[in-house]
Amino acid sequence: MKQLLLGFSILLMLVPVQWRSLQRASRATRFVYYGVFAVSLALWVYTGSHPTAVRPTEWIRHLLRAVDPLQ
Amino acid sequence: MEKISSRQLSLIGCTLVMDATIISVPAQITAVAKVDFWLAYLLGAAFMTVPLWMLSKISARFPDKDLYDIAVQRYPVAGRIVSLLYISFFLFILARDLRSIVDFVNVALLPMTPISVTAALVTITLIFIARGGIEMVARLNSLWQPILIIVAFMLPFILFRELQVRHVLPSLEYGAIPALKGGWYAVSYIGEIVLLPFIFEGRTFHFRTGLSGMLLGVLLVEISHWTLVLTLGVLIPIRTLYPMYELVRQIRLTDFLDRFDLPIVGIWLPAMIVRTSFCLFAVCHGINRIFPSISGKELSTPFGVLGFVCCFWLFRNTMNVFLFNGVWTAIALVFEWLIPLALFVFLRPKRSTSAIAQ
Repeated sequence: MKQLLLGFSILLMLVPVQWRSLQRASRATRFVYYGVFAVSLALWVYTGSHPTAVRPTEWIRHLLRAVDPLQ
Repeated sequence: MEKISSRQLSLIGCTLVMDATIISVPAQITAVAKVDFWLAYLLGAAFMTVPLWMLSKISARFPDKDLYDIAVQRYPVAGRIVSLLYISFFLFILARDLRSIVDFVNVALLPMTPISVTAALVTITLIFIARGGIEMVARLNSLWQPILIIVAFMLPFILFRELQVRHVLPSLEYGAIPALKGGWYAVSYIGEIVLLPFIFEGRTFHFRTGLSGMLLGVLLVEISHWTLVLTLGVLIPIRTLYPMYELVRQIRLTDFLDRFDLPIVGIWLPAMIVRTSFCLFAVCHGINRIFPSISGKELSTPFGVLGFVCCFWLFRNTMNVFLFNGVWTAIALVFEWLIPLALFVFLRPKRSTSAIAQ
């Protein structure tokens, strides 16, 4: 809940700054703009609320550890 | 039309090669290559000259377009897929660099400040820089990078009394294998210069300017790394996360200026932020090229925020970024070598019907 509130507060701070230029932008721009924000918010909440969140880099490192010269 | 000079382009190439490489990579290269670290960068640079040449040839075939444009217009579906892959590649570099900056600030400068606050401040700066367009980013780069270059050239002179040649001997004792292993770490970072043809059209990006930027970057990294090993030896850098920071902490000019590391960090940090904003710009510019109805400038805010979130999602902590370098080259080489090779083969101008008839 705390993560969600923090995420929304960042959104509330950023959107008014660009409100005017967003109104002038195309519908596709607005769609991608809010879409990417929604994905970011979802990731932020997921990362913050799950201490054992799945991290692709750890999975890739495990998968490719044979090529790591330090291993 | 925004105009970039050859000098600015070379400086951008130097920024892409040097600024992120000097954070942690020297520690890993020294760990595997020991005193043969110098060969690692040379091997990396030699290896990356070929894709740089191939990309410059593609750009020369289409002088009015950048690589996103060329790929999308020549092959609408496959070109868009390749462009989206490169956008995710640059987004990853953006997240990695952002995390590196934030971790460095947290460890070296502001240990009491929450990491998310530092990251948010850096992200806001990135967004405002990228919104200004490539000309503004290039001008900012022309402001900070030359100072960083001067500092890198001055390092051996400032630390002259600390340098000991015995630290780099005996050379090539274990053959070429350690240097090749070191080259594995260096090549992906040097290869990030492939970003250039994606944001500059063929008229601006030439092989000679790209190569001069890459070689200048490699030369500066070599000078810094030589100074590091000549000053601290091999054993200290491999036990530190930020070996170059340990090096600049050795600088004590007078009794009054015993924290000379702070001005140097104060020069490197803005240069690194500018470098990261190139990645953000490349992401937004790519989206605009794939879907022309979408404004790239407006998207710098959401993609900056996505980079901010990804830097925490992708990397659990500082060590995660550090250790990922070992496997990162395997992924980076796909984008820095294999795809450029495929693009070099397939991206040719369409033959006109009159030419075919002849």
